[in-house]
Amino acid sequence: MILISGSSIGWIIGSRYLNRVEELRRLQTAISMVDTEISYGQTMLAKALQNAAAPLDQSLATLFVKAAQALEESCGATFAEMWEKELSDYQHNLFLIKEDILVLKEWGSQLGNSSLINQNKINLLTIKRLEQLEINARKIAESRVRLVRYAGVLISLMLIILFY
Amino acid sequence: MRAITAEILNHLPMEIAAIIRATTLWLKQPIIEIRLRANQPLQIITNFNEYFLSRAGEKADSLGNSYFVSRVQLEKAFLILTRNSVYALERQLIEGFITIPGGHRVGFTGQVIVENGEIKTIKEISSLNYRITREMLGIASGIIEKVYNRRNDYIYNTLIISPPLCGKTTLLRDLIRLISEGVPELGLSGKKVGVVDERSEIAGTYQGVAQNKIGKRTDLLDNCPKAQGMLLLLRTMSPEVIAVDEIGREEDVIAIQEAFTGGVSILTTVHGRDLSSLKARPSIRKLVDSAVYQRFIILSKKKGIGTIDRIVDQQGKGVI
Repeated sequence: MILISGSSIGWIIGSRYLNRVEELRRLQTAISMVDTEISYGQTMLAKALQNAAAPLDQSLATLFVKAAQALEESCGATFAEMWEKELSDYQHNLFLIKEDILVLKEWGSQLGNSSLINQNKINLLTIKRLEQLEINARKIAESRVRLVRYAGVLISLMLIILFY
Repeated sequence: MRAITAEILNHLPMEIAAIIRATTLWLKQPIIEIRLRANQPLQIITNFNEYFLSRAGEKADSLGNSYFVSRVQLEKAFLILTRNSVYALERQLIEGFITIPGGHRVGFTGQVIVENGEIKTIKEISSLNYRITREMLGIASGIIEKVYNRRNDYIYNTLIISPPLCGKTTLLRDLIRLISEGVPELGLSGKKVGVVDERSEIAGTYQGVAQNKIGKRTDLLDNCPKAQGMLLLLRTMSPEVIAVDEIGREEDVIAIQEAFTGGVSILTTVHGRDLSSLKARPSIRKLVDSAVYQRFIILSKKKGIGTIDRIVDQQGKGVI
């Protein structure tokens, strides 16, 4: 029982690193989709966010859909304000860390408020920044995932030896 | 007490919306314009008066207790208006207005960016003018018989003349609706009406959907240059009547003459005080002199917006 629990905890902590990498990768795809909607379809932002949410997994899709809904139903607030609120309400459902959230906040603060050319530049820059974060996150994951998982198993084995 | 529609309030920053909402406690006339200018007092305009407002939404009796609109609020209002999709409205930004749900139009000014002699965009918005559309259904009921030839069952080519803010477009919109729907009491069966709405003012189109009632036999070309639109309608939609707002350019005149010779009735509006003032404008003079128009409706604000001063025929005689 101790062995199973300890290994599971190690497994879960290790998975968080991997999930962050995955979320950063998916976010780049989503922002690239938003950019396509904006650049080629000149789609209104709410619709662009909704369309970009379709291929995302549940947690990220919900964030995009909630932001789109807030924009559709908005009264008297800008998207930057709504996005920041949605992001801070929802970030506990994501594996992203503070610096990832900061990049997303900055993206939201500029999204939709300038010309097509500018929007394209903002989206590409955000994708580049997320790409860099993903590379770093992958390095961290590579060095830590195995370590945390082994640690889970070893600590539970130590506990078994200690108790028995 | 007059309620201001949610469509307008939802497109204002919250603080300003609250001030405007508070005016319903004392304001007896409907607001026709709300004006936001950077670092200037918030202003509303009604049919007969204009007021600067205080933070509490009351009449400001001095500049000291006026509510000043900040540049940040103006930028925020602009973003709200565009639904944070400035990039999607680049054509409207060139035109200098945005249409919002309900068909209301918000005009704006700011720093104009010109490229190759043409306006590329407007940035650094410095003032916003919320023009509140009020559909006046039935306003044309009293004059429809004067623009309809019952014996030959056709609509006279009609020109509505007035200075700005006298209700030209409102009258035109209701005429379109009546002609399209038909008026059985007059023996007027509904006709196919083609509308070229260059500035989305007639139908108040928002995201492709007409917000105003323009009749069930009406084909709408929204956001389309008038002259090109009229020719396109002629070629493709076989209209019996073509309606356009605010003619004035040489190409408009050519397109109207084309439609006229094609046997289509024309309903148009033009800025002017009366018939004689139109003759000072060479392109319009050509139209007036060539006897294209059979009815001239002259509007003023003498008894409020939309006062019909006179309706005259080609010879300038009043139409009974």
